[in-house]
Amino acid sequence: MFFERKTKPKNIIRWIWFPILVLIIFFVIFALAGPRPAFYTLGGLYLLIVPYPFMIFLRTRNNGYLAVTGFVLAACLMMISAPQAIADKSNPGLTPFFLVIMYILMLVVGYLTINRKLRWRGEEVFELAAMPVEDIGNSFSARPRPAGKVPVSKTEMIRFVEFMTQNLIAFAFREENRVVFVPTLPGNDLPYLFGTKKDYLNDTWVAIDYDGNITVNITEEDYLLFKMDLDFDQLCQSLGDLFREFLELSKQGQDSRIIDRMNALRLSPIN
Amino acid sequence: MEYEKAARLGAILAKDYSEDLFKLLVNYQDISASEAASRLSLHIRTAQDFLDNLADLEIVNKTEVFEKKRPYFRYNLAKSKITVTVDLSAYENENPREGLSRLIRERAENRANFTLARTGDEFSSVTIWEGEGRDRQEHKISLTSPQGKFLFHLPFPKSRPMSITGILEKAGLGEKYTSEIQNIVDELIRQEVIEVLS
Repeated sequence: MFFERKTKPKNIIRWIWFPILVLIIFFVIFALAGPRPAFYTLGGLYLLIVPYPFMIFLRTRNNGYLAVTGFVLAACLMMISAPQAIADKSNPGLTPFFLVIMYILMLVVGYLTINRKLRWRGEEVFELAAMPVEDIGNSFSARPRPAGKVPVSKTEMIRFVEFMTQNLIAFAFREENRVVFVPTLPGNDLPYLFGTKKDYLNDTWVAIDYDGNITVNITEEDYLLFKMDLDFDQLCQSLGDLFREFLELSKQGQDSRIIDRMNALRLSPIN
Repeated sequence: MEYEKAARLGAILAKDYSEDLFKLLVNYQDISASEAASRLSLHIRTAQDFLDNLADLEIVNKTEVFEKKRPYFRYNLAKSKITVTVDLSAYENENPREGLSRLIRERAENRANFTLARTGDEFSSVTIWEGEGRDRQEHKISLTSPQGKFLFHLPFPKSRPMSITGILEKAGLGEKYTSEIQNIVDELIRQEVIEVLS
């Protein structure tokens, strides 16, 4: 499918700076203090990272992030056990075991990444919503907008919430009379994952109440993610329509079609 | 009675010394401001203002008299009963349906902030920022539920405008709310939050 991207492309430095920094730290310590401190430092850094993918798994139940957690943990253990194995090659201990586990999990994580199973889908949601919208000049308004209705039962809603969360499409806030979905845009996830952000009021959200009323709110910050000044009214309506369509597909058990629609955009598998 | 006159009378009656002054007016044939002030331990200016206000409202008569060549005023009660009647129906919109066909939408780059109600399907208030720099002031208007529902369905800036009737219908509001809706619409037009396209 050919389409013109409407969101601004992300800078590649956003996701490569951390591995590069880790490698630099490793080699600097290796050169200054030898292999043992370098491996320990790297192991320590991996250990610091472990809670992040594990938190994502706990919050979203996305199994891919359990594999990422396992990979980071195996890498950490391998780094910590490696100096001993290097010093005494006749007694490598558990290092080969950790190495094998790390490689297997690395392949799994690689496969999941290529297949966009680990991708936060908020950007794709925005692209899909922006597709039919025209550029008419700045028409932003900082207020929510009603965006139609979709018949939905409580059971269907619960199923939909699980699907949206597990597939990293949106964080869900369950309220008394409605569920509020916050599309998962890269960089916006940490406060939600670690529970430091308890509400969604300063973010873009789509709410669906149990009577089926859809309400959309797009923040100015997220509106500026688009390359052009899209018709804000149309954009809100389109985002509401998109969630209605997703919900309809979910009700029909065609969840995979939602993922297919997003994958068809062919955005970078990493965000 | 005109509202302004009633408000003035209300303010006079609310003074804590008014009852005592009326007692003097009822029991004296006439009285000067200095006599009343000395009798009630008031400042002469306070008694003078009170009596002059009553004279303006035609509750007392004010007569100029002379003591040798020095003129001063004496007051005597003109009415023994005061009735306050304000006809509030005069404020009723004569034709509440007038202007319902106006095409409206939110004005772009207005300085208003809408607050969503807990129910999530209406606004509870609209805050408008007035002035610039240090003089910038917040003007918060709390909305009734029908007003909140109406504004929730107000078209966005640059989108297709809708008639007030159309928005009322979309928001599921009955005709009985037209007056209060028109009231908030007119206020927000004045505050440049809403624009009228025809």
